[in-house]
Parts: sequence; structure tokens; C-alpha cells
Amino acid sequence: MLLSVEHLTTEFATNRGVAKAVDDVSFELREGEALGVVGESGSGKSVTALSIMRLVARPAGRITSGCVRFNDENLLDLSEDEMRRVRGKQIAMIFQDPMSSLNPVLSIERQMTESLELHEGMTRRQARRRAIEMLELVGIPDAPNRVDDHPYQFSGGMRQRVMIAIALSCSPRLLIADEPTTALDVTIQAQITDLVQRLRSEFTTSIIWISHDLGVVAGLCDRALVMYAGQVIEDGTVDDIFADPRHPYTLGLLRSIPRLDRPVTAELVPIDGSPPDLVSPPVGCPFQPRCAYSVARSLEERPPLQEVLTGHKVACWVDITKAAG
Amino acid sequence: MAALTDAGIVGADRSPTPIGSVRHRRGAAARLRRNPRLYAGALILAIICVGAIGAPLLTHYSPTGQELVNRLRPPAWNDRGSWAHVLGTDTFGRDVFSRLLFGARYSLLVACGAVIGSGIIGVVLGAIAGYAGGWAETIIMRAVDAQQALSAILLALMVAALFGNSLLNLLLVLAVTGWSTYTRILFGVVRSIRGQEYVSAAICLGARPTDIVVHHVLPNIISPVIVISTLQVGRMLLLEAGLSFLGLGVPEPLPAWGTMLSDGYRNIFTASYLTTIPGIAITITVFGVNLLGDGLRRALDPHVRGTA
Repeated sequence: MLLSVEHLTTEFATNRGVAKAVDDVSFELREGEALGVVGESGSGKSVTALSIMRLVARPAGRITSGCVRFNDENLLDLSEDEMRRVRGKQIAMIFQDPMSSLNPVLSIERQMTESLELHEGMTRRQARRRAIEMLELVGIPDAPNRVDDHPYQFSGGMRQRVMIAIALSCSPRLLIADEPTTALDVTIQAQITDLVQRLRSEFTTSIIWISHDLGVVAGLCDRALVMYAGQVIEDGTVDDIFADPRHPYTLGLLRSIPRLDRPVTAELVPIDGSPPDLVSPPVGCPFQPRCAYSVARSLEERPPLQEVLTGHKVACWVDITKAAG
Repeated sequence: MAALTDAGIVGADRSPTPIGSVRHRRGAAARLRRNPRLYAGALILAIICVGAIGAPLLTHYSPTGQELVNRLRPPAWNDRGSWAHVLGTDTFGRDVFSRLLFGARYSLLVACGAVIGSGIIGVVLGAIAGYAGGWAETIIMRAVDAQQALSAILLALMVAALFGNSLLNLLLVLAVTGWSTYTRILFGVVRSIRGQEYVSAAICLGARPTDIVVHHVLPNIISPVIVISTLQVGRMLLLEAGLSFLGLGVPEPLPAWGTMLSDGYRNIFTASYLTTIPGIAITITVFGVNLLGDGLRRALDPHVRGTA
């Protein structure tokens, strides 16, 4: 197991009280696997990623419990110095907005060679050669010249390619992509996902792909986590989750997006209501107020994440395949 | 379109151009056409520096030598003037041209020294306050408030009263009055850089705080530092003049432009050239510094590089 997150809880101090942005999250990631993390805004996807990197903004945010086992080493126990050697070298991360993830005043070369010099101990010349190789690999034409350009000379899609090149340049074992295609238009999105798909096989890097685009996750990932109100509510292979969703929320998500394999006339069903307040969440199941399947127990007790089929876990008191919604 | 091609060419100019590249280096003339300010400013300052350094070669008069028979001679172009004293003489019969040349030494020394000194203090403190935050920020920024509330003149009076009137004390006073301007502005700049996503991205790549300051913060603050510095050079020259006027500037009989300006003031109605000549020298210098600063900023800042 490359990464196993156990009972991770991250809290933020707000003016109104403590908000549990990540609430008792557990999941595992095998070597070479691509895991999609889906959920709406504020469901804790990004904070989970930042917690793994130990980059939760302090002093407001704090990892209060749990452990993040990477390569049989609990990342939460490492010193800041040791953690710095993990970041970029073992685990790399790319962000949502490629427009602001690159420093506007530095050349692409300078930004690419920084981590190579730091982690691989390369000289400036070696690092430059490696940077050009990486740019060619991510499909930047004329890479030997483009490496000296500044970010303003690149389009959004090209910048995201550069970010991916930077992230993969030290051959990390895990790449965390936090909504990397959200700020890009659809054709560029497709190019970037294709690129990641191709690089994944070349680098044998494991991927955590955070997105609220179910389509992208279905196309790219092996497994998916569905998060709601800071909790994992469903965990399974992409096929299981998309063909046989077991949580009412996942079902709701799938019904609310248009699909090519359904008649155009089929109505989209939105999920009523809004996500709970994380400062004072409901006592029972966090989805209960919006749930059509809700039972008495949902009000009182939080459902644990249980395996319902091999490799398919759900946190729900109701078996929605048998109950009527 | 012009801007686009320009950007490409500038990009090529800075890089070791690979063989077979379609881009190529352009001559100095082309660069000058793109950035005339830089060269105009540098030329003006170079002339002034040559005058200051080569003063003994350019005039045989001593800047402090008095020639009491030739007091208040107007410049050569005046009816009563003579080519012996090109820019005339002052109330003690000292040659104004010679004083102007030698004065450039002291004025530039004081102004540049004060700007560099205050710049170093101000940038370091501003960067610490902006990057570290917390109690460091509180202490530094409250000190800035306190500093800005004090008048430079009062501070100079106090220093002069305590330690006497000397060149070094003048430099110290000017440096101490100047640092808060840098700190106040850089605090904001560094604070905003710190919140940028590319800083988070660098941290994600394992960058140390020092890497971030050196690679990400410093390159971003070059242009505000240059802009503040050019403004500060002018301010320091004028402040020096103001302090000299109160008798707290460069001590007599050393010739500094501010001292000359305040000496000439007494005869402003009968010998206006005594004030206008150093005044013009200060104006030209400040103008040159501003041109140079603007040119440098455009040359160094990739945001404007393409359109310079």
C-alpha cells in the first residue's frame, strides 16, 4: 500500500466555532493506482489533499487526529525538514489555477530547475536539460527555446502542462492534482487528461485526482471516493460507483448530470437543499436533511463506512437497492 | 502585434541563443530604441559623475578658495561677467562652477549613501514583517508608524544637537528618515506575494523558506524598490538642501548643492544665479535618476518588458 490515510481529522477555527473540514477520513491508495476524489465545493476534498502534504494553513487549520501512512511512514510524525524532502520528491501537487501557480517574474527554466536542484542535487546545466526533456514530454513545442520564456507568454493549457512537467520532474511516487482542469476550457481539459493518462503509464506514478467533474474521474481513475461534509460516504471502483451507486448522495449526483447514454428528454434531478454547516453538523448522517431514503436511525447515529460488496464501501443505514426512495 | 514581436526578441536577448534559433540578437541601437529612458538617464548621471570625479581637471579653482576682490561676479554670459569665472562667484568670491563640480561629490555621496542605507534597512525589515507576520510584523510596523510621525527636520536637529554637525551624522539622519518608506510599501508587496498560489506551489515542491524569499519574493520586489529608490534620491537631495538651509546639512565650507542653494538665498534678488544654478543641477540629477529608474524597471520587470 503506497498511501493509507486513517481517521484523518482536520479542523479550522472560525469566528463561529470549530469547523471539521475533514472528519474521520480513511482511505487507501495502491502503487500505480489513480484515485478520484469527488464532491461538491466545501466537501473537504482539497483540505484532505493539503493535510496529506501537511500544508493546512496555520494557525487557523489544524490536523487534530489520524495518521497518513506513506511508504509505511506516518507523515504527520515527520519534522518539517523531513517533510520538505517528501514534498516535490515523493509527493507532488498541482493546483487548480495554472494562471497563478507560476511566478510571473521568473522564467520557466528557473521555476522548473528549482526542485531539481533541491531534490536531485543537479547542477544548473543538468537541471536545464531535464527541464527541456520534461517540457517535450508534456507536449510543449519548441521546448529548448520556450524554457527561457516567462509565464505570460504561455496560454492557460500550456501553463498547466508546465505545472505537470514541474510536478513530475523529480519522478514523484504520488501526484495530487487539485481540480487541475477546472479553470480550463473543455477541449484543453480533454488534452490535459489525455496527457496525464499517458504520463501515468510512463512514470508509474499514483494519482489522487480531485475534481467535481464526475466525467473526468470516470475516464481517468481506477477508484473513486465520494466526499460529503468532510466525510467519505462512498468508496469503490469507478465501475461500481458509476454503475451501482449505493449512497443516496452519489445516486443524486449521478442523476443530476446529463448523460449521453440516456434519452435527451430524460429529466435531470437536482439534489434539494444545501450541504450542512460544518461548525454545527447534524448529529446523525450529514446527508440526512436532504435525503429521500432517510430512516429514524439516520437522525441519531452517524453511519460508519462499511463494505457492502468486495471493495465497495458505503456509509449509509439504508440499502438503497432494496428501499424505495 | 508589435508588442508580441518585441516580447519574443527581448526573450531571446536574455537567453543563451541556441544554434539554429530563428531568434537573434539585435545591436545596441535596437535595444536603445526599445528603452531610451534607461540610456538617457544613464547618460545624464554619467555626465554628472564624470564632472564630480574629474572636478580637479575641469577647473583650476579650489571650491573653497576665496577671492574677495571678485565677489558676486555674475556668470560669463552676463554683461558684467567674465570667462574667468564661467558661472560667476559667490559672496566670498568662490568660483561657482568649481563649487558645483565639487559639490556634486558631496551631494551625490549623501543622497546615494542615504538611499542605499535606508533601502537596505527598509527592505529587510519590510520583508521580515510581510513574510513572518505575527509579533515581528507588529513591532516593525508600529516602529514605521512612529518613524513616520517624526519630522526629519526635528530628528536632524536632535542629532545635530547631540552629536554635532558632520557628514556622517547627516548620512545617518537621512538614512533613518528614509527606511520607513521602503518598509511600509514592501510590507504590503511581500504580504501579497506570500499569499500567491505560486508560493504554495513552491512549498509543495519542497522549497525552504529561504528558497522562497530568494527565488520568489526578491525578484518580485525589484521594481517597487527601484521606483521608491529613484524617488528617494530626489527626496534626499532636497532634504539635504533643506537641512543645509537650517545650518544642519553638509558643514561649511564643504560645497554641497543644498548648502549652495541656501547660501545663495540671501542674495536671491541681486544674484539669482547663486540659487538657480545649484537648483538646476538638483533638478537635472533628479530627472536623470528618475529616467534611469523608469528604464531599469521596464528592463527588469517582465510585466512591462513586452511593451517597453
